[in-house]
Parts: sequence; C-alpha cells; structure tokens
Amino acid sequence: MGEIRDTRALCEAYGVNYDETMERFMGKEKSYLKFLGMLFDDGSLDSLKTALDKNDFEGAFHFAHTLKGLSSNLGLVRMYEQTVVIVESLRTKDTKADYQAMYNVLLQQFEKVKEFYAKMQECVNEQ
Amino acid sequence: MRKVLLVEDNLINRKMLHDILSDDYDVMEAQNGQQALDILAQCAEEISIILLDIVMPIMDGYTFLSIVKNTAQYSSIPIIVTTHNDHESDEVLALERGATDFVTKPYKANVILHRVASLIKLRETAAMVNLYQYDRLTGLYTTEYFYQQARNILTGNPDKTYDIACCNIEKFKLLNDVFGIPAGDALIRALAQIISESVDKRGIACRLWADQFACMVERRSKYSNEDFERILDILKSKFNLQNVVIKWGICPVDAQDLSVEKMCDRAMLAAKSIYGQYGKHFAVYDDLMRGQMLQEQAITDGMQEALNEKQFEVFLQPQFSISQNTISGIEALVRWKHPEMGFLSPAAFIPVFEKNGFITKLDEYVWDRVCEMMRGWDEKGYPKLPVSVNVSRADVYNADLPDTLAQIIKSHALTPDRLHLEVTESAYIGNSENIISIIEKLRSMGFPIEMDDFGSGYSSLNMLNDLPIDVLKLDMRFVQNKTGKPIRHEILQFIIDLAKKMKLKLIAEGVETKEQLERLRVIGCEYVQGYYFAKPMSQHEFEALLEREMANV
Repeated sequence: MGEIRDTRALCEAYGVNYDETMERFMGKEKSYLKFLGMLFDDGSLDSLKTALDKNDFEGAFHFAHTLKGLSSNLGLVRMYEQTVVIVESLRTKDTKADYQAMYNVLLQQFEKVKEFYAKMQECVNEQ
Repeated sequence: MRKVLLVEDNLINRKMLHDILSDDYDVMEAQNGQQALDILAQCAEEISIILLDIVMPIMDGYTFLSIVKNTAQYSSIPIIVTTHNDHESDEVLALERGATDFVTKPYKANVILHRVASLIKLRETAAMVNLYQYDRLTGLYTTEYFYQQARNILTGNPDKTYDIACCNIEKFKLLNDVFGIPAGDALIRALAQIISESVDKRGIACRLWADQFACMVERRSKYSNEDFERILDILKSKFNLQNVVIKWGICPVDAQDLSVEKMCDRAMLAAKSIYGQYGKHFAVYDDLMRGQMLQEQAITDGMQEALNEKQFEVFLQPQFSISQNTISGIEALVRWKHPEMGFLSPAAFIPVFEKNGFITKLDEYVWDRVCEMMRGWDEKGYPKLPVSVNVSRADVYNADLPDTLAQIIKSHALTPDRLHLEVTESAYIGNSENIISIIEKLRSMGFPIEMDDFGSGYSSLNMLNDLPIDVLKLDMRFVQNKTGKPIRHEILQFIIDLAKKMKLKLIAEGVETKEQLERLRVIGCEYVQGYYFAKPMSQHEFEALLEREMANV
C-alpha cells in the first residue's frame, strides 16, 4: 500500500467507516486512537484461543462475544464480521466447526488492525 | 451532577461509556455485578440510573438485574441494559427481568445520553407524584390527595355511610419544645401508624398538617370513649409518656353537599371543643358548635365594617397605687358594640381575629385611639398617666411594628414612655428570636415593656430572662387558683422580691376581694388592678373618675 497521509482515506483502506465511527468519539480522532490502542492490551483474543484449545465452548463464546462488541464499537468492520462468524457458530453449540481456522482468520484481521493503528498514529501525529 | 453506575466488565467498553457520559454525569464504574452491588450498598440513594452490560463474568447481568429488582432500596433505580442489536431475545429477556430500557452496541453517544436523560427525568417526575400523594413523614396520604380520595369513595359508595374523624395532639408545640423535634416527629409517625392500623380497610387516613390527622371510615356503631382511649394507650406505652392527650372530633357524613375539607373543619372544631376536658376523648360535631361557627362567621363578616364605623370601643381600667391610693396607670381593653349581637366581649372575637390576622388592624386602631385620648387629656391638663396596650403575637411578626408605633406616637405629639406595650407569653413562645429583637428595638425607642400574665404559662422565667422588661403583671388567678387554694406565701414573696431585685414595677391584676388586697399589701406589692377597685369603663366614665380624684387631692 502506498503512503496514505489522510486519516479518512486510511480508514477507507482498512474498511472502517470514518464518519460513523468518528461520530461515536465526538469526531475526536485522538480519542478514537486512545481506545483503539487499548484493544491491544485487552486479553480477550488470547483468552479466546486458550478456551478454544481447551474446548471450553462456553468460555470461548464469552470472549468472542466481547471481541464482537469491541470491534463493533471501534468500527472495525472486517474484524467484527469475523467475530460474528465465531459467535454464531458457538451459539449453536456446533462442536464440529473448525474453530481453529476461524480463529486464524480473526487473528489475521487483528494484525491488520494493529497495522491500521500504527499508520493512524503516524498520520495523526503529523497533523 | 447526578450519578450514573456503569456495570461493564470490558475495559474498553467501560471507558468508552465513561467518556460518553462523563461530561454530564458523575460516572461510577463497576467491573461486574458483585462490585456494582457493593457500590449500591454504599450509595444507592444517590444513583440516578444504572447502565448494565448483560454479558458479564462472575455475576452475569441477568442475575444482577434480578437482585436489584428484588431489593427494595434499589428497585426503583432505572436500568439500561447494553446489548448487541442482533439478538432480540437478549433484549426481551432483559426487559422481562426488569430492565427499563436497552441500548445496542456499537454505542451511539447521543442515543445513550438521550435515553439516560429521559429515564432519569421520568423517574424523578414519578417520584414527585409520590410526594404529592403521600406525606413524607408518616406515609399517610397528603391532605389534598385525601380530599380527592374521600370524595371518590363517597361518590362511588352511595349506599354506605361514613364518618370523618379528626384528631390532634393537645399542646403538641409544648411537647416539641420539651422533648425536641425528632421526638415530636417520632410521636407523629407512631400515631400515624396506629391510626392507619385502626382504620385498616374500612377507610383512609391522612395527615392534615403538623399534629392533626383526618380519616374517613365506614360507620360501624356508636363511638365510645374507650375506642379512642385504646389508641391513646398504645401510643403512651410506646413512648412511655404519661401525659399525651389526643382529642378527637367526629363529623358524620350526612349532607353530601359539604366538601370533605369543610367536614374535616367541623370535625376539628368538635375536637377543639373538648380541649382541656379531662377524660373526654372525643366529641361529635353538633348544632351547638354550628351556632358557634355561625357566630364566628358573623364576626368575620362584620369586622372590617366594624372597624370603619368605629364599633370597637376602647375601655379603660385604672391601676392603683396601694400606698398613695391614687390612679397610677391605665390598661386599655377593647369592646365591640355590635349592631345586632350587642356588646361582645374580647373572648368572643379576639381568638377569631388572631386566627384570621385581623388582630393587627384592630390593635393598630386601639393604639391610635389610646394616643388620641392621651393627647386630649394632656390638653385638658390631666395628670400624664401611662396607658398599657396589647401587642399580639401577630403584631410581633410584622417588621414594621416599630415604625408603625413610632408613627402613631408622633402623630399625636406624645412621647413613647406614655404608651406601655403589653406582651403575653403566647407571643413569645415559638418566636423567641424574632420577638427579642423587636422588643429590644421598641424599648430602645422609649416604649416601656410590660409582661402580661406572669406565671400562668410555661416559659415565664425564660421570657423574663430574654426580654428587656419594665413591668410585670401578675395575674391573681395565679395567685389564687380555681380551687381557691391560695398560692404559697413563699412563692408569692419570691415573685415580689424578684421584681424588686430586677427593678421591675409589679402590678397585680384581677384583684377582686379585700383578702387579696390585704395579702398583697402585707407582702409589699405596690400596684393593683381589678374589679375590687374599678371595672373597665368607657372613656367618658374614666374622665369623670379622674376629675373626681383630681378634685379630692
């Protein structure tokens, strides 16, 4: 991806709806980034992995659900959609589904969000 | 700022919500249901609303919701549940379990703020309705609500008969003064409880105001003293108070065209009619009282006109010096020469005027008339005798009193020392700070102050201590009470000595017999007033008396 200096364009590139999302943070990009940053300290993703490894489906549901809420609040649509996949599957108590595969996709999305975050930081700091 | 309790386990969500709310509210955070309960235990009363995440560890949201709704102190706090918008069953379940509303993630700041504000407002308005319907101290109905409910019951049950019963605690003010207001409140609450239980399903009850209660009950049988004595006994035993006295008045609901309020008035009138009557706990309103009420109405209707047409006459009763056998002063008393009802004594109209506030106009009129008389006497060359006039409780509440009196004195070209101001204990009680400053002001302006009915009330010594006084008026009823037993010599002597030590002029009033006079002479009381010497008389008669005395000198 080429250098993008505009926060709006950056959001566009990562599938984040700029207007809708910023509205939730009263239009303050710095506020948004503060909360976005907190995502990386949040242990839900790791806890999800642990739960899935142990076949603790109830626990997994809880953590997936949390991630769903967080990604939704932070406007991270692509990550959100992946959490929905996991949540719905767990809700139906489908024990046969390939949760590892689902998790991996989610992990990928999570990494992308990290990237997004770093770039947003740069952008905002330069302004 | 109002407080909001946020119950959300996820840090980011919690912080986001906190951010949204913190400009307008004081946000308290809990990470789970248990923490939230701990916070509620500390300050539930201050929390206006709870935002609850329904999916939480440790204690899940539904459990918390359940607990809160079933705990009396918390159950009225509105709860907004935060959910995802894709699963309707969550929301429905939450609402069924008692949530007031829900907001979905992702959080939309303005929606959340709007919902929160509107729920808080709703709750506070509902709370106000409660305040309007129920008296805060006792939990009984408020007066207005009682009137409404009573009317509804009467209209809805035309075949049933009811009675209105009102009661009031005799000398409640005194109880408050002696035992303190919290104790007085506790007494009222207890009485309310007992009344409520006695009335039970047969009727409704309310607190009219202060220590007065009203209830409406289905008529069962004739009332007896024992019925009401029972209530009193329960109250007495609860408080270990032997001398609480409660008087009840009953007004049977017969004529449907009387307002509930008027019927309560009549019941209270009946209660008041047995004040001071030992052993009588209740009275039923009847025509005798109706007669009194009619007279009171006539008095009220005619009073302004009476003032305008000078139907009020100032009578004068002279005071004498025992040793010198001369008139030493005068007390002014008011009589009403009513065109239809004839001569009315103050006992008939003064209480009415005190109730409706007309007394201040009457008092001003009397002061003015008295000053007018004194100016006339000065011009005729009579001795400059002081005249005592009454200052009522209502007068003391008027901040203009000193100015009014100053104005009257000035307009008749007199000096303040000529007009003695008589203050009774009833003006002092419950009014001390106010009266002290007014009396001090009046005295500093040169008006001598007289304390009336010394010893016949409860606060005489207090009053004597607090107010700057020049003259003590000792009522002979105190000196010789109803049973005819003369007051102990030592006590009387004490009062005389007290007056001397405080350099107060002492006047014994109500002296009716030679024996009383002799007693007073022996113990050294100098001034007297009473029927034994002279009855209150008209200005004309008084001037004749004065001239006779002047001729004899």
